[in-house]
Amino acid sequence: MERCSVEYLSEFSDCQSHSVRIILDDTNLFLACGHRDVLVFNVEERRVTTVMQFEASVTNLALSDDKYRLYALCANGGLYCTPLPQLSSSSVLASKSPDRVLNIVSDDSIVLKNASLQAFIIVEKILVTLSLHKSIWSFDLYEEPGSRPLRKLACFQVATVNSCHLNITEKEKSVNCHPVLTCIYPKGSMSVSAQQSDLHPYLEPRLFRLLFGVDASLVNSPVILCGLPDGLICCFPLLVPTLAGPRGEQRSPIRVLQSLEQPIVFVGTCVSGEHGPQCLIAVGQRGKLLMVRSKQASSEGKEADYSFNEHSVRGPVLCVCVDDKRLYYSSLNDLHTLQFTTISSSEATGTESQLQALTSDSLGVCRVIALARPYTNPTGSVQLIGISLSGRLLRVNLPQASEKGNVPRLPPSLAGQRVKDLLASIGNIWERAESLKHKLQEKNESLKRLNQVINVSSLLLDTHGNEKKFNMGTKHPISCHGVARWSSLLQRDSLTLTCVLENSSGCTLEHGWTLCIQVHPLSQYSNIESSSRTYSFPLRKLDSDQKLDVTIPLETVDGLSLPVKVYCSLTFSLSSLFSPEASSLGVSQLLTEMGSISAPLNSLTVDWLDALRLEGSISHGNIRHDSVKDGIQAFLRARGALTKDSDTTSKSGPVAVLIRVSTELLKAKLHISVTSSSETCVSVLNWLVSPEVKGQTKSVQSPVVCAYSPDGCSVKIMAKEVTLGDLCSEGPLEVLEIRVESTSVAAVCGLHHAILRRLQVLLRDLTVKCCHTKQLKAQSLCEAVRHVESLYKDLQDAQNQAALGGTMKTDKSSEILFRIFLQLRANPLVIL
Amino acid sequence: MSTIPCLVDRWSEENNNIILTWKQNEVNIEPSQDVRKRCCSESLKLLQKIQGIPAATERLKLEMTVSYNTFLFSLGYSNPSEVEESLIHTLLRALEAAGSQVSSSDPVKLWETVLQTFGTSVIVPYVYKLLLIQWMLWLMHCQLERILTLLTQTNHKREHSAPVNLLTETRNLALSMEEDSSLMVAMAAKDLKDLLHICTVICQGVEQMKMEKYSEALEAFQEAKGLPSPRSLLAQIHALTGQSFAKLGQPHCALHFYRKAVEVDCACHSALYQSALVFRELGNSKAEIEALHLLYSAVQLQADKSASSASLVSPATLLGGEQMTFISRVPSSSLILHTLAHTCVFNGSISDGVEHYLDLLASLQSDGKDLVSTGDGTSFPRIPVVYLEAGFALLKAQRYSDALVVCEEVITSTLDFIPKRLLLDAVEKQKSDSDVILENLDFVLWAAAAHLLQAQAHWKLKDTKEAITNFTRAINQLVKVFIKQKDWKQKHLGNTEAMVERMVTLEAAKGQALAGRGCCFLERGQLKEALRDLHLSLQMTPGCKNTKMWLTEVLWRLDRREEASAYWREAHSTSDIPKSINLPLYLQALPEDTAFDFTDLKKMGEYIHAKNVMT
Repeated sequence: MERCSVEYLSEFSDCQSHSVRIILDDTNLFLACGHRDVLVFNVEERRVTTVMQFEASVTNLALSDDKYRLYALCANGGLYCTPLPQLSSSSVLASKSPDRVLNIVSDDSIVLKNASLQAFIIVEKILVTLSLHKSIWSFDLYEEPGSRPLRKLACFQVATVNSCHLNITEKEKSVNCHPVLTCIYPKGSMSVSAQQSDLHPYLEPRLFRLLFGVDASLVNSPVILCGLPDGLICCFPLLVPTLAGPRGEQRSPIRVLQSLEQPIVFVGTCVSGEHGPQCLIAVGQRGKLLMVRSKQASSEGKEADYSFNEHSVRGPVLCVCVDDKRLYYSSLNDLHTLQFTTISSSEATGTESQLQALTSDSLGVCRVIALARPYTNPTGSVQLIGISLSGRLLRVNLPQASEKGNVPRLPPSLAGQRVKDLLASIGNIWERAESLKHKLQEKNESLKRLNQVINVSSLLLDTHGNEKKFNMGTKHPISCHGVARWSSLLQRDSLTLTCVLENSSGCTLEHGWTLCIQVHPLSQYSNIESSSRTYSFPLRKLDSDQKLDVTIPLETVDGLSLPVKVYCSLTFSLSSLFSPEASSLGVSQLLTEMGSISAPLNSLTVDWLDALRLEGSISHGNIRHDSVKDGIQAFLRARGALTKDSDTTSKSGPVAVLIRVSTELLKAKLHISVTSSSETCVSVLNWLVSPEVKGQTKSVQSPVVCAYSPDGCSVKIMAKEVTLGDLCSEGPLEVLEIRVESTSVAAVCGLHHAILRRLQVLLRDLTVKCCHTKQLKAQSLCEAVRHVESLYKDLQDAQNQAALGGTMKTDKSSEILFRIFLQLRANPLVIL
Repeated sequence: MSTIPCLVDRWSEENNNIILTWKQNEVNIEPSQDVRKRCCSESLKLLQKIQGIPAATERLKLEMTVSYNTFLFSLGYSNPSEVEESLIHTLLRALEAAGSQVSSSDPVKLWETVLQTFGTSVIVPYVYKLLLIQWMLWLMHCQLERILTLLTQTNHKREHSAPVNLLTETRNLALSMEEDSSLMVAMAAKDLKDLLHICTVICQGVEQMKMEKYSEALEAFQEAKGLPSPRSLLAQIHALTGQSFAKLGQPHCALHFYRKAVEVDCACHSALYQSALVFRELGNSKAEIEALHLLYSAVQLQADKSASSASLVSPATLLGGEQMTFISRVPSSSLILHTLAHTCVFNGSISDGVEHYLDLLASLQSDGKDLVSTGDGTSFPRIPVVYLEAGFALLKAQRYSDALVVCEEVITSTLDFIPKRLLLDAVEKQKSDSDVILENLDFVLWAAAAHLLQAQAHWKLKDTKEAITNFTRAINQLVKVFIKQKDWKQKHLGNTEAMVERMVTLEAAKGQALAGRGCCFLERGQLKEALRDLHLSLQMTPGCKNTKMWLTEVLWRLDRREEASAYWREAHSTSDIPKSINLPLYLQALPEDTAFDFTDLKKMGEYIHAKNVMT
């Protein structure tokens, strides 16, 4: 067998081997590679002219009889019918506009939707579909092109053969094998040109009559042949009315011809004789080849018959195509050709022995997964167009077959060709080797990444487990710290949080890790899910001892809502274990949506104190007076109060709250060594207002801090030392009094809450270290308790009133509530 | 809080807009399917939006109305099971909103809970709308039992001891159906209920007919007639009534109702077809041909315009595929044409018959989709038989060359299937083989009949030589069948009716071929061969008057006058040949065949008279 030459026409993405379909129509090649797109490729121009995008991956394709419409069966069970763009004219246009035309096919073009649809074919303006439902195959016939929904003409059913008997392996089952539908014409029913009858397989009249019966042959009806995945080959005449059986009963038009007992890949006709193709061929996936030929009526006068001959070729057979005398099939490793002999009517008996000697020749082209119909060009050589597993569109040029069989010596003219062919096949093998190498590399890469990820995760886990230890002052190997800052952009100030991810571990954080920062507004009563936001920053690469700064806004569309809790975490998505350009989907397709690792890092709280702007540090004009009201409203809404009240109350001058803390305590905790009371006050204020600049130049120099709250109100925070004489039995007590004063209730409340929180954190593990407990005077304590109790009573009264009075008196009741609040805050208990 | 009433208003408006679009389309002369599809998808989107938020009692009215509209629109596009799923989903949401616990998702139980929960609330008209959808879905699947249960549940006042009957239950059904003008619907619930009512009654009747309880079926149809119904449906009811009467053995009542049906709706094909069947039964061939002819033209006319109904719910969709095919069962146009042609030829109107046969052959060759097997329970004769019948008709119409061509087709196509010899042994015959044997027998018969017809054509063309060749070929084919038993006509162990019938045909064909060849020999003057063949023919078909006449002639010419006179007398004593129904059409002898040219009639008469005088 002569060698062939291979040309690469184009290269597409990877193909899903079981659902690749190619249709060659003149110079246009329709390609479905198992994705959502159907490409129209012009073979002459070697480019894609049109792309049709469907809603789901396309599993089967067909053109209508007149070639104006394309039918596509998609994985969602929809059969789409879309008019073809004028391809002939587009090739003219193409010279002007080289860009592809993208047609998106919407669900408006669905003509049929049935999830059990397996295959379809269009013959003589009849759409034949095959669907499998509960182990019954049913053929449905519809009018084409019909109204929508299509008018059903008929329906026949065949039961499946139980696949257990056929020992079809699980692998074969999982590989989606679709049934094969072919239409075979009796000769002469085609009134169209030879070109077209080329596209439709037909059989010589004698064999047609023998196989499909007198009736179909008298009516000249095409016959639909179907190769089912369970190996059955059945047929029914398309255009014959339901006929009466020999006993006058109705008989099913479907006949089972044979069973190959393996999934059928191809059914077609071959071996052109004097009156047309003489042979019906069916090929199974595992290499069984069935040939049906007619036996001549011999002289003894036995009735004419047809013979079934089964042969074997090396499987698995992926795709098959035929021309007049040859059958081409692709196993994954090679493309083979089988040559058949023609039987002339004179030599009828000798055929059997010849058939036994059926041998296949290798063409040396590997990994072909789909073949279009071969076509013979005017010079007589045969061209095959196929697509390889890696998505390459290739054209195989076969030299004209010599009738003589083997060529004894290589003529010098062919030597060059031979060398070329050898090079081509080397190229093919190289391609395979390369792909294997590539795969190995990918695997190693993935393993390396996995190792890294596990290292980092265990490090993070250790940190988490030994939190206590790290709290003592040692640094986390990987940590994230944040500072809230005001930044001004486009005349607009906004509060941002700058987070620094510090990698002080020995590991490198590779690509694939993501820093996630989740911001929860604490005050929001409504569900956390909706109000919390997550920012994620994919890391490119963070070497050890490197830092990464990220800045996130703290304001949302609803305005600023303080305080907020910020959680930092590192996540790793497993899918980035596999390099994105990995050719095979492989393991990564098993990953679910949730395939990721998430390790929590630090968390921090941003409160009103963080958001304060000290007077002097900013220009007055920048403060947003316009948004003052917004801020207050936001806060109050968060607190559940109504906006109306805040207006009334804030008018009545500045509001102040007090917090009293034992000076001794504070000094001990804050390690303040100074003795003068004013300096103590300054350092406490510094600790409150700008804790991060500890040890550097103090931003606060006096015991009074004037600042602006985020909503733009001016706020005063004052600290002074007072001596309470009657509280402690051991004598007067030095107490630091922090006073917050502002016209904005929101600011006062927020700051009060923030200061208390800070103190709470500071004094959390105080009890252990407290050197001596103070003896408190019971009387003063009782007084304080009584005071609070009376306030509580007032509160209850107010509540009752509100509950009874209904909505009309909210103004009044809120006023009462506000008064109680102020009283409570004005005379606080001392924190010891 | 305050946003929700807003949404409800917006959604209601959206719903009303969809319905307005639909209504506008509906009144158009040529309603477009696209509009319906668009309405369907928009309505579905709206429903999805509404069902995107938790159900609440104040939104139930809107949700149920939109569901109702969506289901009506989507009926033509989606699977009934999908609609049912969606319906159950809506019901579950409604129950959730009302705070009821649902134990199972079985529709019957679910409806029980729903009706108990909402039975007295303000949204009951909306619940009933969904109930109509459920009724419709079950009706489409012909689940009358479930419908009955469902409808019984709606009736709270009914005392439970009374016998449950679907007819009375639907008649007494009182569903409050007031419409809300602010929430528009695609089809008024009352209209839908009326349609469902009549279709349920018809469905019940058809079920009774299927169980062969015709009087009960008549009762249902009587009920159906009293209900308001579209024209075409009324015609179908009349036709069904007629069918029941026909089954009850009252053909004239049946004909009366068929006529009524056609009067109401001239497109009621099944009535025409059924009346043709009744006419055949009554032996009124002229009326039968007329009915068939009307039916054929009606079917042809309808094939041209395949009208798609604009209405959302048509009786055809409600009665489901199976029911509807039962109701309006009409054979395919090709089968009607064949029946018409066959009846014409059989009853002697040859020229019409020939035209119909030629039409039929032409349509077999060209008409694509009309020929597709419809699986409607009727079966078409085998194609070679149609060819033979056409050949026979052509022969009788004296278009001999056409007849020759048609028969040639049969001969070439059957050639490969004819066995060398066919041994029929009823005792040994395996049952499993019988179909193959019968089929082979058919091939032999067809080939022989084709040769026979060809021979007759040649004979008529006065080409006796060619005729004798073809008669011989026919005989050669026929004698390939050997019958091992003598008394094959008795139904034996293995001799099925089909086999006996074929045997009779075979013998008749043999008789005809031999007689024909005998006549040809007679014409050519080969009297001995003629005598042999005619004798054999008489053995095959004893009592054939024609053969006896021919025999008389041969014997007379051979100067064997005694025998001749014996056959003469015998021939005169046998009555005219009875038309044997069992024979296929192409082997029937028509009256004109008996137009025997008795040139010797006079001398025969004279001879017999003389003989009588002598004795």
